Amino acid sequence: MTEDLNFSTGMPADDMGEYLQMFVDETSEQLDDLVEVLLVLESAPDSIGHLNESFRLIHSIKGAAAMMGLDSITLLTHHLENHFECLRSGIKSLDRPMIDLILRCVDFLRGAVETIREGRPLVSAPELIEQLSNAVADTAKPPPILTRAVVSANPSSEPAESTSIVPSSDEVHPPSIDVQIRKRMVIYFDRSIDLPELKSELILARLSELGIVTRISPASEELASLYELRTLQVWLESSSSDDSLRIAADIVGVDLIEIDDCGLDESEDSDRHEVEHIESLTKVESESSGLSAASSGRSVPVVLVTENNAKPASQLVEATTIANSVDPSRENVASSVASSTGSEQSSRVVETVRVDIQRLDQLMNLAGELVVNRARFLQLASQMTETFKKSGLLSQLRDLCDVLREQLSSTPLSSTPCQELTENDADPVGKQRLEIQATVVAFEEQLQVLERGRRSFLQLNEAIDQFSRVSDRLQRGVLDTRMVPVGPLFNRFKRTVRDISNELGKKVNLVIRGEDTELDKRMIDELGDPLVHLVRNAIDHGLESESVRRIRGKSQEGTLTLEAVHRGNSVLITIGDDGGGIDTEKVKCRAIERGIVSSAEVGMMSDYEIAQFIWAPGFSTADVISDISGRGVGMDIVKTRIGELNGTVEVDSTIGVGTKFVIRLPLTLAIIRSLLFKINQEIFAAPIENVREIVSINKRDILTVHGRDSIEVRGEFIPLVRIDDVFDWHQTQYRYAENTEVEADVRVDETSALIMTTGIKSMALVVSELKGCQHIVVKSLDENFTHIRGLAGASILGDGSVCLLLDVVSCLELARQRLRERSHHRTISTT
Amino acid sequence: MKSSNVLTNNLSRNVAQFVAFRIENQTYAFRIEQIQEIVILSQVTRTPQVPDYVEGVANLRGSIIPIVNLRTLFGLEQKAYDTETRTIVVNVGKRVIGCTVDTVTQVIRIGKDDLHAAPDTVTGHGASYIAGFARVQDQLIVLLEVDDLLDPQKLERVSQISMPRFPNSLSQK
Repeated sequence: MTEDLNFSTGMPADDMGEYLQMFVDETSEQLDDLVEVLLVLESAPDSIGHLNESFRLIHSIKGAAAMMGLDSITLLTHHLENHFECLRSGIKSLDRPMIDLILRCVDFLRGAVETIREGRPLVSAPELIEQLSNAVADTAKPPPILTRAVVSANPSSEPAESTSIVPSSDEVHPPSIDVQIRKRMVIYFDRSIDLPELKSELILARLSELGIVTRISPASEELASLYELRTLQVWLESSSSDDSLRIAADIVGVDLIEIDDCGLDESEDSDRHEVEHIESLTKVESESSGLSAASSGRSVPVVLVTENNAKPASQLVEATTIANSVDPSRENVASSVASSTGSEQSSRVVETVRVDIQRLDQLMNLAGELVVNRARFLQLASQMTETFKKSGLLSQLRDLCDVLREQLSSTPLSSTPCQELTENDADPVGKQRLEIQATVVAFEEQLQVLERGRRSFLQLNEAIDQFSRVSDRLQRGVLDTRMVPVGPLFNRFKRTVRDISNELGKKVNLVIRGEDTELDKRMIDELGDPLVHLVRNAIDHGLESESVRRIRGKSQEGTLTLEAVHRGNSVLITIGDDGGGIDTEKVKCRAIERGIVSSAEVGMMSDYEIAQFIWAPGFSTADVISDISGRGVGMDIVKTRIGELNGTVEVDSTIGVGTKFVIRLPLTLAIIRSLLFKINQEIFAAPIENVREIVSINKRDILTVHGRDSIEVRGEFIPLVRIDDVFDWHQTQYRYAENTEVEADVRVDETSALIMTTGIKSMALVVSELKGCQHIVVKSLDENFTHIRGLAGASILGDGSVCLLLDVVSCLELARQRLRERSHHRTISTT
Repeated sequence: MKSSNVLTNNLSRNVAQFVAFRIENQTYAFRIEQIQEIVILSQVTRTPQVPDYVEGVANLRGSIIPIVNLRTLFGLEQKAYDTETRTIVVNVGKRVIGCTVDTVTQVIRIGKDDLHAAPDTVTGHGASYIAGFARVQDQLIVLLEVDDLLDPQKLERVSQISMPRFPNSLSQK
C-alpha cells in the first residue's frame, strides 16, 4: 500500500511556509529526545515510563507532521507508534534488532527534517515501513489499521492554491513608495530653548502632515526624559519639496535645518553608534533584496524596530531559505510570503533586531530580582515610616522635651519654701537645674539631627517611589519585547482543520477570534503541540457527523472556535466546539474499566468531576484508533505541557451542546501580580486574576447543607472552604513559642473570604487578613524540593520570608476531593 | 613544618573530615563535602501535604529550600527551637536541603582505621542511611549518608502518600 502513495514534498502551498521553521526546530528536538530515551530503553527495555515517553514523542512528531501535510513522516511515525503500542501493552518486548530498526527510522526522520530545512522534496521510506509492519505482524494481535488514507489531503488542494498565489504576489507588492522620497532632516535647536520635547513634538506633528515620519533620533520615549536637546534627527518619506519641509519645521527655537535625501544606506551611516541595529539591518536587507529587486527594481524599506515584534524579520529570512531551493514551484511560495510581509512592512515600517531569546530570559530574570529588591525597599520604608511619620517618634520626643522644660521652669516656683528653709542646699539645686537645662538643650540639638534624618527619609521615600516606577516600567518593557501575537499560531490551524475535516467528512467552520492578543514568545512556541491535540480531539470526538447533527437539529456545519482573550495578568485561550459534549456515561465506564476509579466512588461524582478523567494518562473513549486521535496520549500531554508553562487547562462540557477547553496562561513566566493574604499566621499569595472579589462574611450568612458550607453572593451560591479543607497540614509546630502571637482582633463571627475563580468554577476561601497586592517573583518548589499539589510555587517577600503561591485550579480540585471524602466518612460513621 | 606535612598527607589519604552535630544525646556526623553551610534560620514557612518531619520551606539567599527536622525524622519527640538550634544546609544531588539539628558541635577528622561499618541489625530496618560508626575520644559517632537520608524519591513518595486521596495516612503518624 505504501508504494502507491504520492509522497508529495508536503511543502504546503498556502501560508504554511512560515511555520516550517517551527516544525523543523521542534521535530529535531523531539528526535534528539527520542534517541536519548531509546538508548535508555536499550539497557532497560521494560521501563514503562520510558516506553510511554517515546510513544509520546513519536505521537507528537506524527501530529505535527500530519498538520504540515508531510505524509511520509506521518506514515512512518504511525507505524512506529503501532509498534510502541505493542511494546507498551507487553505483547512484544524490545530487543536489539528492534532498537536498531527504530533507530534507523529515527535516522530517516532526521534526514527528512534536514531535507525540509534545505527545501528539497521529501522521499519516502517504504522499506522501513515494510520492516516495521512485518515486525508488528509477527505478533499475535494485528495492529490498528490506519484509517482514512493520508493520501487524500494534498494532491487535490495544491494546484488550486498555487495558481491563486501568482497574481496576488504581483498585486500586493510595491505600494506607493515611488512617489515618496526618503529624506533625513537634522534640526538644530537654539541652546536655550525650554521644553525641547514639546517643540520636537510640534515639529513632528507638522512634518507628519507632509509625509510619513519613519524614525526619529532621539526616540520619542527618550525625548521626555532629556534635559537638553540640541539636535533632532527625523527620517521621513515625503513627496513634498525640501523648502516646504523646512518651513514646516522652522518654529521658534530652531537654529538650523539640514535636509538630505537618503536611502537606507545613508541612514545607517549616520547612525554608527547603533552597531547592532545596522548589523541586523544589513543582514535582513541583503537577504531580502534578492527577492524584492526582481519585482520592484528598488530596495523595499524592509526594516526596523521592535515596536511590534521580531516576527517579520524571521519570516523574511525563512522565506529566503525557501527561495533558495531548486524546485521552481517553491519560489511561488517564497515570493508570496515575501510579498505579503513586504506589504505589511511598507504600511507600517518597523525596525527589528533579532535577539537570542536567552538574552531576553536573562534580562527577565534580572528584572525579577529587581522586583524582589523593590519589595524589600518598600517593606523597609514602611517599617521606617512608623518611626518617622508626623505623629511618630520625633514629635513624641519633642513633646517629652517640652514637658521636661515646663517642669524645669515650674519647679523653682513650687520649691520656694525649700529655698527659705535651707540656704546651703539652694546652691546644689540651682547647679543641678542648670545641668538639666543644658541637657535639655543638647537633647533639642539631637532632635534637630533627627529632624534632618526625617527629611532625608522623606526624600528616600520619593527615591523609592521613583525606583518602583522605573523598575515597573523596565519589567513591563522587558516583558513587551517578548510578546508576539497569537495570530500566526492560530492561523496554522486553518490548514489542520481543513485536512482533518476532509478526512473525516465533517464540515467544520473555524472561527478565530483575538488574533492580536499577545503572548510570550516562548509560550507561543510551546503551545503548538497542545493546541493541535485539542483541535484534533474537538473535530474527531467533539463534533458529531453530519447526519447526527441533522437529527439533533443543529446546523450541518460544526463550529470550532479558537479564541484568545487578555484577562488581567493572563491570557485565556478557548477551544470550543458545538458538538455532542463529553459523554459522561462513557467516560465513567472507561474510568472504571481502566481501574482509575471504583464504581462506588463514581456514584458520588458530579458530571464536571467525571469529565476530568479525560486528563488521565492513556484515557480515551474513542472506539476506533485513527491517525488523528484515539490512543489516549493526547490529553495528558496537553495538561503536562500547559502545566510546564505555569498555565492551567480546564474542560467544561454540556451534553448535546458542546465542549469548551479553557487554557489559562500567565502573561509572563516569572512575575505575577498577586493578592497576599494571611491565614493562621501564614502568608499566601493567589494570582490576582484568579481572585474575583473579596467579600466580608458574617457567620449567619453561612449556609450549611450536609456539612458543606456555602455563602450567597448576589444570588449565587458559592462553596465556602477553609484552608484546612484544601490542604492537609501536619500538626507539628516547629518554631519558637513566642512567634505564634495570639491575634486579639480576630473575630470569630465576621471575617473575609476571597472568591477565587478559575473561569469555570469558583470557591470562597476564608482568610484572616488581607495584605494587599504586589508583584511577586515565582520560584519553583520542585527545584530543591518537590511539587506540592495545590501550590504553583513560592515567592520571597520583602521581609525575606517565603510565601506560598496557590494554584487555584488544583486547590479547587483538592477541596472538592477532600470535602467529598469527609462527607463519605461521615456517612460511614453514622451508619 | 614536618607535622603539617604529615597532616596534609593524612588528610588526602587516611583521614576524612566530618561535621558533627547532636540530636538528643547522640552525636551524628555528615561528610564535610556534602555540606554547603550552617545557618540559623529565623523564618520557615509551613507547607501542606508533606510528611511531619518537613518543617516547611525557607529562603536561603534567594533560593527556596525545604527544611527537614532530623529529630522528627528519627522519630524523636519534638523540641522547641533554642539558641543552639542550627540548620545544616546539605547538597543532595542537585538539590539543596536544610536539616535542623539540636546543635552543631565541631568539625572532626576521623582516620580510616577508626571508621567501622554499622552492624546489620542497625542498618537493616530501612536505616540504610547509616554509613558507619566511629569512636572518637570514647564517644560513639554515627556517620550518616546524606544521599540516603534525604533521598528526594523518598521525600516525594511520602508526600504522595499523604495526599488527600488516602485520608488514612493522616492518622498513621
